[in-house]
Amino acid sequence: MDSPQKASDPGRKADRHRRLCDISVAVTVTGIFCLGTALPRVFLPADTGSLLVVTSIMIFSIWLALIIIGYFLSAPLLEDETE
Amino acid sequence: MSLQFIIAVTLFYSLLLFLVAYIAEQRVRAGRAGILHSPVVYTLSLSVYCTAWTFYGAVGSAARNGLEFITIYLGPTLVFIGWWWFLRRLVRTGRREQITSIADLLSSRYGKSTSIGVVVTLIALLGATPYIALQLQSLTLSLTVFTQNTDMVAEHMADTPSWTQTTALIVAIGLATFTIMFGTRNLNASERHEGVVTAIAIEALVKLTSLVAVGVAVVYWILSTPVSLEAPLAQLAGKASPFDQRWITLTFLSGFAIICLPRMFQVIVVENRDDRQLALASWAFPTYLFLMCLFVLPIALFGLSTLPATANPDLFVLTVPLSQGQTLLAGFAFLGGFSSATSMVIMAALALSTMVSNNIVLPLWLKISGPAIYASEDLRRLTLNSRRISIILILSLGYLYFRATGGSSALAAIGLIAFLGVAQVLPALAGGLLWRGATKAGALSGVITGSLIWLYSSFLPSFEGGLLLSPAILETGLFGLSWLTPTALFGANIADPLVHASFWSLGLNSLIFVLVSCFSRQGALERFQAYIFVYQRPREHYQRAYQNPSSVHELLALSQRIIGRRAASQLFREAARAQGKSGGLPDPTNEFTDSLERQFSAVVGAATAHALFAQMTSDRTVSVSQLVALADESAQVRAYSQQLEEKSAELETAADQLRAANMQLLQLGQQRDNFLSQVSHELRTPMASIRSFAEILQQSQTEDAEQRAHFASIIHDESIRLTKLLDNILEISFLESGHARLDIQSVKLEAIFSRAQLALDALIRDSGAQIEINMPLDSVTLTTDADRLLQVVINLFSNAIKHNDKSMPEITVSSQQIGTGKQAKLLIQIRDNGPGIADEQRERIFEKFARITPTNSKSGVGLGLAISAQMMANLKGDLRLRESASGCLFEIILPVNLSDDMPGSEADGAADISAHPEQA
Repeated sequence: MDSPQKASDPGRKADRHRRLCDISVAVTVTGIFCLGTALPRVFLPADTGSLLVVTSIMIFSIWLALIIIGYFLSAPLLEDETE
Repeated sequence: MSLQFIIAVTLFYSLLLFLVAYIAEQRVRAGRAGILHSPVVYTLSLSVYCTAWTFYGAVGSAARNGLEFITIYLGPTLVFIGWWWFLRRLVRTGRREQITSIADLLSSRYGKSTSIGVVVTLIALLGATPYIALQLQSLTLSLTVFTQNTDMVAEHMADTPSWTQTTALIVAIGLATFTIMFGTRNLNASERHEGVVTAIAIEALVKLTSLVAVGVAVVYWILSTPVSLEAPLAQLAGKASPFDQRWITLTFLSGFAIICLPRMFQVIVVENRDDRQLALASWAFPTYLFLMCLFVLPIALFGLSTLPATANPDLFVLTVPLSQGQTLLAGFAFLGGFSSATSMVIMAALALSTMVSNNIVLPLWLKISGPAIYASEDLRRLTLNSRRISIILILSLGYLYFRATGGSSALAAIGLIAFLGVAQVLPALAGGLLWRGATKAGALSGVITGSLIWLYSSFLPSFEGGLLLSPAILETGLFGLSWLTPTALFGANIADPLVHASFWSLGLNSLIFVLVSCFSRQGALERFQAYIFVYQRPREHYQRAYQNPSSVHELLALSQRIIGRRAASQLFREAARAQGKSGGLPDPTNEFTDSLERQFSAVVGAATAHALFAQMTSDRTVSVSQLVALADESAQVRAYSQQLEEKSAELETAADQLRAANMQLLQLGQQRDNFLSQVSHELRTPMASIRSFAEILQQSQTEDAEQRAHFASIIHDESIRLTKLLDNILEISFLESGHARLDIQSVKLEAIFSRAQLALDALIRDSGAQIEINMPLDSVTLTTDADRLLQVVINLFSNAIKHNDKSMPEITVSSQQIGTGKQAKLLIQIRDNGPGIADEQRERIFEKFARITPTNSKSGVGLGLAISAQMMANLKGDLRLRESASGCLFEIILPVNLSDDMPGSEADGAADISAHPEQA
C-alpha cells in the first residue's frame, strides 16, 4: 500500500487553519446563543410569568437572527470546494 | 367527527403517500427527477427529526416543564447554523465514499472494520426500538381522542381501549409494507430513495401546516376570548431555567442526535446529492424548526387554562381544537401527528435495515458461506431479503415493546434516552473526521465504554418497576457497591439522571477514545482511510495498492452479483474507455479496483465490500514470512538501485571532466596552429626581404658601393629583426613551458624605474616624453626577479611612448600596497595620455602577435605584452588593462615578497617555476 507522505500534501496547513476558523465561528455562535438565552434569568425575578415571556421572546429573537446569519453563511458553504 | 371518518381519512392519506412515492420513483427511473432532487425536498425531508414525540410531546413538555422543549430544537439549529462546516465535511465524505449508514461510515473510517459496524448497529437498534414503540403509542393514543371526551383522555396506554393495540399492529404492518416497497425495491448503488424522501417531504408540509394552523387558531382564541394565562405562566416560569445543567445538556444532546440518529444520518448524508441541498438546509431547516416551535407555548398555556387538570398535555394539539368545537382542525392536526410518527418509523426502519443487513447479516453470511458465495447469484437477493426481514423485525420489535410496556410513561422519556444512546457514536465520528490519529481500538473502546455506562445509568433504570434492573441495584448499586449506583456513579452527586448519565457516558467515552487512540497503532488500511477522511483529498492523491489484484473476469462476475448485470457491464465499459481501450474489459488496476470496491460499498457497506475483496484473494494470501522475504528483496533492490545511481553520477562526472579536457585540448591545438601560422607569417617577412636583397647583391653588376652598403644594411637590420623575433618566440615558449628560472632577490622599486628610464633614454629624449612617478620609490622594497619586472616595465613604457599620438607623451606611475604580511601585494598603475585601446581589442591585447595599430616601423611583432603577461604570471602576479577615460591604464600586481609564496626559492636564491604546482 502506498504510504501517503506528509510532504506530499501541501494543503495540510491550510486545512488546519480553515478548520480552526470554522470551529471559532461555531463556538462563537453557540456561545452567543447560550448567553443570550440566559440573560433574562439574570435581570428578572424567578417564578414570575414575565420571566417565561421575556425569555421566550429573547430566544425566538436570537433564533431568528441566527437564521438570517445562517442564510448569509450558506454562500461560503457552496464556494469552498477544497474540502 | 367519528373514529371511522378519521380512519378513512388516514387511509386515504396513506394511499396518497404510496402514490406520491410511486410516482416519484417512476419519474426518477425515467430520468425526470426535476424537483425531486431539489434542495427544498431535501430540506423538508430533514423534518423526519420532528417525530410524534416532538409534535405532541413538545406541547406536553411545555405544559409540564416550561421552555425546556425548545432545547430539542435549539441543538439542531446550532448545528445547522454554527457547525455546518462539520455537516459539509460529513456529507462530502459520505458522497465520496458512497456511505450507506452511520455504522458504515465508522466502519469505513476505521479500516473497514466489521466490529465497529456491529457495535454501532446494535446501539442504534437498542435506542430505536423503544422510539418506534413511542410512535405507535402516540398514534394509538391520539386516535382515542376522537372516541372519548377531551377531559377523559388517558395518560397511559393501560387505560386505553384494546382496539387501539390492534390499530397499532395494523399501522406497523402498513409502515413495514411501505418501507419494504419503496425502501428495498432494488439495490441501488447510490442508496438513495427518492420515493420515500418525497413522501416524507409531503408529510413534513402536513405536520408543519397542521401545527401552525392549530397555533394560529389558539392565538385567535386567546385574543378573542377572556381567558387568563397568568396562572399557567406563573406555574411554568420556575420549571426550567435556561442555561442550567439540564438545559445545556439537552441542547447539546439534541445537537448530537441530529448527526448521530440513524434516520437523520440517512436523510442528511445518504440521501444528499450535492452541496446546494445542504446550503439551503443550513438556514431553511432551522426556519422549519422555528415555525414548529413558535406556537407550542401558546397551545400549552391555552390548554392549561381551558382544559381540565386531568387532560393529557401531550394531546393538547388535538384536544384544544376539539374543546373549541373545531373537529376538522383536530383531524388535520391528527394527520400532522400521523405524518410525524410514520415518517420517523419509515426512515428509521430503512436506515436500521441497511445497517443490520450490511453490518451484521452479510458479514455473517460471508463468514459462513466462504468462497462458495461467488458461485451463486444469491448475494443480491440475500442483501435485499435481509433488509426486508430486518424491516419486519425492527417494526415487530417496536410493536412488541409497545405491547410489553403497556404504554408506560417511561416511553415518554425514551426520546431523550435514545438521543444519549446514539450520541455515544459522536466522539468516534468527530474524531474520525477531524483527527488522523484516531484508531479503531480507540473508537471501539470509547463507544463500548460509553454505551455500557449509558445502558447501566440511563437505559435500564428507565424501565419502571425494576423490569430490567432490580430495585436493590438502583438503590445500593451493583454488588452492593455504592459507587456503582446507576444514578450516582463513582459517588457523583448530580441531581438530574439524564445529566448524570450524559456526563459519565460521554465523558468517559471521549476520554478512553483519546487515550486508547494515543497508545494504539493503526493498521495499514486504517491509516490509509484516516488520510482520506481527515484530509478530504480526492482518492487519486492516495491511491491504494491492492495486493495481488484479482482477474478482471472474477471482478466482473462478482460485480454482476452485487450491483447487477446491467450496472456492472456499464461500469466496466466506462472503465475500459477511461483506460483508453476501445472495447473489451478494463485492466484490474489499483484505481479501478478501488473504485469498484467503493461501488460495492454503496450497496453492501464498506466492511462487507472489503471482506468480499479480501475473500476473493484469500487463496492468494501472502504469508508473513513471504512478506518479510518480499521486504528483504525490496530492500536489496533499493540498495542496488542506489548503488547504480551513485555509479551513474560518478560516470557522469567523469564524462564531464573528459569533455572539458577534450575541449581544452582542442583549444590548445587551435592555439598551436594559430601560433605556428603567425610565426611563419612573421618569419617570412624579414626572410623574404633578406633573400630579395641578397639576390640583388649577388646578381647586380653595379659597382655603386653606397648602394651595395645600403642593401647590406637592410639585410643586417632584417637579420636583427629576425633574430629578435626568434628570441621573443624562444622566450615566450620558455616562459610558457614553465622552465624559466627566476632570480629572486631584494630590490628597491626605485632601482627598477631608474633602470627602465635609463634603458629608454634615447626614446624618451627623441619623443620628448615626460614620466611622472607619484610614489615614494625608496620606501618600497620588493623580493622578486628584478630583471623580469624591469623587462615588463620597459615594455609598458616603450609601448606608451611609441604608440602615443601626442606631441609630448606623458606617463604617470603610481603604486599602493594591498594587504599586509605574507599576503601583501603591490599594485603599480601605469597611465599614458595616448589614444587608448578600443573596447573590442581589449580582450586580445595580451594574445600573441596581437597588433592593435597598423604595421609600421614603430610596431613590433606583437609579442611584447604576451611575454610581459606571462612573466607576471611567473612572478605570481598579474598584468591587466583597466578601463580608463583617456589613454591606457595598465596595472601590475605582484607579491611584495615572492620568496614567501615560493617554497624552496630561498635555498638557492632562485626558484624553479616548474616546481610550483600551479605553474606545472
